[in-house]
Amino acid sequence: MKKAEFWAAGLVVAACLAPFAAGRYWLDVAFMAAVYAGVASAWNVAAGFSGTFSFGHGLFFGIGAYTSAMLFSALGISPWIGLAAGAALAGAAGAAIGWLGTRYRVGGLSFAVLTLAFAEVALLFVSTFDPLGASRGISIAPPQPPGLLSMQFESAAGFFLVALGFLALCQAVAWAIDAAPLGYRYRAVRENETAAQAMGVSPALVRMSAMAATGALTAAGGSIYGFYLLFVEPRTFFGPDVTIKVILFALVGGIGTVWGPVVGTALLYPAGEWLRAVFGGRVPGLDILVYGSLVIGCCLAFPTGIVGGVGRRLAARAGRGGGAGGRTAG
Amino acid sequence: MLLFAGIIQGVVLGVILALVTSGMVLVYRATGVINFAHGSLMALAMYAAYDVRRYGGVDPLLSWVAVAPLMGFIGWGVFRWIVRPIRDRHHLLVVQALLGLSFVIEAFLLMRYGADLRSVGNVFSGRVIRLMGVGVEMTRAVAFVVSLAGLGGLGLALKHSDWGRRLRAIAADEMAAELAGISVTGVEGQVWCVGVGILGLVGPLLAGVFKLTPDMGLRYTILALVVLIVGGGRTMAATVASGLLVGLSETLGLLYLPGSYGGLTPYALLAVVLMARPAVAARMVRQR
Repeated sequence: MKKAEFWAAGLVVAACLAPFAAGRYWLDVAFMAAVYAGVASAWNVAAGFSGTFSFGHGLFFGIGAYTSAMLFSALGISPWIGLAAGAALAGAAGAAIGWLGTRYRVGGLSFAVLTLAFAEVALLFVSTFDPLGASRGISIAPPQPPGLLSMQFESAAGFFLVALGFLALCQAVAWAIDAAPLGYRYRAVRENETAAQAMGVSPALVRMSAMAATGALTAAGGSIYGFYLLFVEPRTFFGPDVTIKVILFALVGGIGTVWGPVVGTALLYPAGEWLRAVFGGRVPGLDILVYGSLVIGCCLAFPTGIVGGVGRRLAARAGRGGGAGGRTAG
Repeated sequence: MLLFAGIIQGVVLGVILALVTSGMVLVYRATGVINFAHGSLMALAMYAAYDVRRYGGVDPLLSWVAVAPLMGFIGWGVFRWIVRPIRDRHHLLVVQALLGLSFVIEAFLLMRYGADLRSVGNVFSGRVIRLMGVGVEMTRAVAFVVSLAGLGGLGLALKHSDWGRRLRAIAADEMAAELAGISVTGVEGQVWCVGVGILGLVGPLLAGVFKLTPDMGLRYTILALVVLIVGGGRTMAATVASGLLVGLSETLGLLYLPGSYGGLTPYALLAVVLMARPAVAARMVRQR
């Protein structure tokens, strides 16, 4: 077990350092991968740990990006303060949706559809509401001077480091919730809501806190991406694409595990970009075709996710060896 | 008068939506799976009509003869090779695999037909008929009639045919149906075949009503999902009622609300229905 942890840590460090050596293009890819990994992990905190599924993470991603972009464009407020404000707003929105879900007893897949409805309403509203730029979006004048304080960098490396910081924050939150008593309450509600309630766990509090945490983290990712693009637009941020991608990454990596979403993103996102670079230019659509087939293949080959599947296989091997420590390896 | 015209247009759209959704409802009732590739499969059927017209010179009013069986076979294949192997796993896994399938379809359409807007004309294109004094595109009116006939036929088949009885038995209790000697997997495969085949029936007509783009699928999947949930996903009658509600709310919303805020109304309707009818929600939770 110690050995496995050692290897995992080495792999993480290598994955963080490799983009610096690979040049500008791969740094951009790594930036996006880190943002997606963080959001996938945030999605997993609610869906994987507490069973509170959301199909509407675009709502939080968009709230984060638009809040910080508007505060900066209109009032000149620092992107970092905007990021915090967006996270607070999205956290409140998440808690409110969580409350609605428990108050009106909307659970499971219906709750996910409810979040989808809210995200679609937000998308259509922002696409039409003129003060927020409607469907044209908002261009952000680059904050001056470049540096960590203004979240602007002359090189892609700076953005990648910020995204890594964001990912580290998401992982810290996921790990803390997983290990803390709160994580036990989350899992209790996920496995059997009625039984959990009988034991004194409040499903309302679990759903609200899970949605607040996932909303706030996702919004932070949205702010960072917005200031990276220097342009926010309804479809990119409020649209369903972000949600579809992060659910895919989390499912392929292993839902309900702390590291699954990160592993899934690290494998799939660069693969998708590579496919686009190789095929996308020559035959538009071929990259998506291969990517979609990959998704179906992953679902058929790893029905419990890569982290879950590999973990179980390791556990089975250790179990055959009869080692007592083997059982904890999974 | 404007209101009346809006109501007529909304009813026509609503019935068409109801037939499109009925395929999703059948599949959901029999196998408990929400087909997240439904809209993309419809796009595929519409583009197939485009090809049949272009290379075979056959009018879309007739091409359903070829397109419907093709879509039925595709539906059966999706069930056999994608849904069945993983349906007992996490319920989101099937959702994800079907979303993956919709990516594949979208990419295939983009590669084959390019990103331009297209529409497929038929003999009625450009003609307008008057329904109770309101001008309605002829193609839309034909699609309305076909949808009504399709919904009626489906409703009768579910109620009175042996096949319908088997399907309802599976929807009520899968194990009891199996014990009663019904081949559950066999019927489920047939249901996917019919549910997707319906898209082949109505898709060629709709290709003259809606504009075709390769990425149109997801929008129609979500719209069908709204109709399914508002109707509760059980009976044909409820699906028709909810199709009418969604069609009317969208048409009237676009008519009376400023800008494109009208597009919001189906989703607002969805949110209200989800919260006002926890029974629907409870049923969907019981799925897993």
